[in-house]
Amino acid sequence: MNIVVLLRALRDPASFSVNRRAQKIFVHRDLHRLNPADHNALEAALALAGASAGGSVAALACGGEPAGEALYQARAMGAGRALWVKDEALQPADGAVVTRVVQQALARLGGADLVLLGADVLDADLAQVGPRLAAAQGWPFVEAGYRVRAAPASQGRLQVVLAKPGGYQAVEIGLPAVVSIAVDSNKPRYPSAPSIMRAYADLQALDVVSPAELGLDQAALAARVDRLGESFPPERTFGERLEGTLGDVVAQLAARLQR
Amino acid sequence: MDFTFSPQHAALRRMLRDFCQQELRPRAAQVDHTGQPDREILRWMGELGLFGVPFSQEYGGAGAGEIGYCILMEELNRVCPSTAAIIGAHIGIAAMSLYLDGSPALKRKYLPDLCAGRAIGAFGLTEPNAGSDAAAIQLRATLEGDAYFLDGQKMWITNGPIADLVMVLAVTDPALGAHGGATVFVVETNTAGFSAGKPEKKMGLHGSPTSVLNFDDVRVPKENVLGQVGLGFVTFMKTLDIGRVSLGAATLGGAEAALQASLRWVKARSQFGRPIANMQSIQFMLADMATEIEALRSLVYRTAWLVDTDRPFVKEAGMCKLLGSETASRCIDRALQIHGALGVSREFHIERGWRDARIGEIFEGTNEIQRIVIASELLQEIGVRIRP
Ligand SMILES: Cc1cc2nc3c(=O)[nH]c(=O)nc-3n(C[C@H](O)[C@H](O)[C@H](O)COP(=O)(O)OP(=O)(O)OC[C@H]3O[C@@H](n4cnc5c(N)ncnc54)[C@H](O)[C@@H]3O)c2cc1C
Repeated sequence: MNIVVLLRALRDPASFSVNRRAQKIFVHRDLHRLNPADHNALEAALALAGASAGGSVAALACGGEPAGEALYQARAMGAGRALWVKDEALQPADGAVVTRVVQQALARLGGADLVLLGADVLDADLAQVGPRLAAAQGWPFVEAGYRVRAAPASQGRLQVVLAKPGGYQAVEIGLPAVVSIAVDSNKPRYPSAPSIMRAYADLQALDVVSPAELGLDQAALAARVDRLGESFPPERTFGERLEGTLGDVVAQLAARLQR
Repeated sequence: MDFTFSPQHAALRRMLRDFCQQELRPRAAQVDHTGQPDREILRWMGELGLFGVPFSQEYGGAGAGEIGYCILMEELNRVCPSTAAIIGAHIGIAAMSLYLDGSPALKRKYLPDLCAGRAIGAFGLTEPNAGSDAAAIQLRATLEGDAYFLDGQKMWITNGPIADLVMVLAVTDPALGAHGGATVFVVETNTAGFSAGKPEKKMGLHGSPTSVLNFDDVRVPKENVLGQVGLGFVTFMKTLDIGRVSLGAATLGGAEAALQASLRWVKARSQFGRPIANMQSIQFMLADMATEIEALRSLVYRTAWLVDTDRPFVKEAGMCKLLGSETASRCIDRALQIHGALGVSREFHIERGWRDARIGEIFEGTNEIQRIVIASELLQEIGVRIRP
């Protein structure tokens, strides 16, 4: 099974702060990390490939240097290949553009039986790429998978377990398919120290291409969404403190709950 | 000049930071309370290649050099000084002596197991009558046929009770003594006649067992001579020189942890109607900590760079250990003061940090010995030779 996992690097939440009064983001350090749900998708991909004979994992990311770093991390964790569509402008690109890039990149990777990606993204969280890609390819899509494994009974199909309120649901899909992976659904492995050093020492660790090399022109890369600015809702105020004797407090609480 | 870490060292630090914060930190208090090293986490660290970070991949290491090793020690000591001490003795002095002076055959025999954490190493120099005066060692090694027989005692040996391999300095030629008559041996601890004593009861580093090692006619094959017969003292002194750099890195992590804890607390704790961060005396302590830490960081990583680029580093290495251990002690002491009663509570980690940090001024050469090393290097630069 050839698995392609889509990775996205984003600003480390520890590296900036949001000042709501000034309506501004202050970046303290230039620090990025892998989107947490993508980290889980990568682990799911590596575990699935490890469990199936002849399974392979290729990691794919588009954007500037942080995307490249995410791919080195994937190689160090065990992904056999990595494709970096290198273009600074792609970082904040919208779902439609990313989908086009991914489609072309999949062709370059020689196709895929399964595409995995994080179910949500910490910064934008539009959750568009998964369904858009599936629609564009004409493949099935499952959102927020908790576990993925080869379907126990039927060859060439995949079983995806979804977390539902109060329990789990298992669905089976045919391949090729796109599955987004829920955040915290697994514990990603740590890359070993030697594998980190080896990944960076390997000059062929990443296959680096420009969007143009994938046959994408400016028109294909033009964003569909205009970014007008940022707005931060005010900080939530703390709850109310009820005062008085126990009886008073209970009565007040009951009155509020009835409202 | 470029003060940035290479991408691979930055990636190594990211992994170590995550591992230490998520896996090691939650176990640090337990390791201190029970005085037991956490075997499970050590095994995991072995699988991640953390027992061989500086050594070349040819021998099973990570190939991350002295800079990578300093990053490891800084991150470990930030959360669990006991575990850092285990790794520091294992990599920084035990495996390091083999890596520096061992024959290719001896390295092939033992380094892969040491790097993978399948074998834990210890460094046996100190004896009841030889502390700072390391040249006063008495443990004897006598050649009989194709093997040496070791007789005597080592003391205060980190990892003593858990070691699989001990690098031991022994007198092979009493007429010459340590200078020219001492040799390093790699001793497998399952050899008959070897025994380790009970862990010492120390003020800190409770989870890092330190003990006496007894040698009662321990047979060591000739092939297990590390380096050249008679030149063992040089091997051990060279090893300690390098070890001081990473020890400085460890103290850096300890000092940083003290500052981070203080920064959290001054914001959280209010007295006289405002966070104590508003008090100037508190601010001055924070400023002093941050300044000393920054100076230490520059010294440590510049010295690691000297090591990795084959430049002379002995004077700077002594400075790393000296400045580092004193900075860490001062920083954790200020952190304790800032935390007030919480600082001395055994339910909180500041007290543990304070106990753990103090040992840095004693082991791997007391700070008095570091001053002697630094001074002798300084004086040598103007043509004056001194003896301790
Ligand atoms: C937790 C711990 C772990 C250790 N691990 C190891 C290990 O793994 N392997 C190992 O071989 N050893 C180990 N040691 C031993 C350590 O290296 C020695 O304790 C250290 O070298 C000091 O020796 P000493 O304790 O005998 O002190 P002493 O040498 O007796 O010193 C006592 C005091 O006299 C001072 N002094 C001595 N000589 C001079 C001088 N010439 N000029 C000025 N002042 C001087 C010292 O600085 C000190 O203040 C460990 C010690 C501890 C506490």
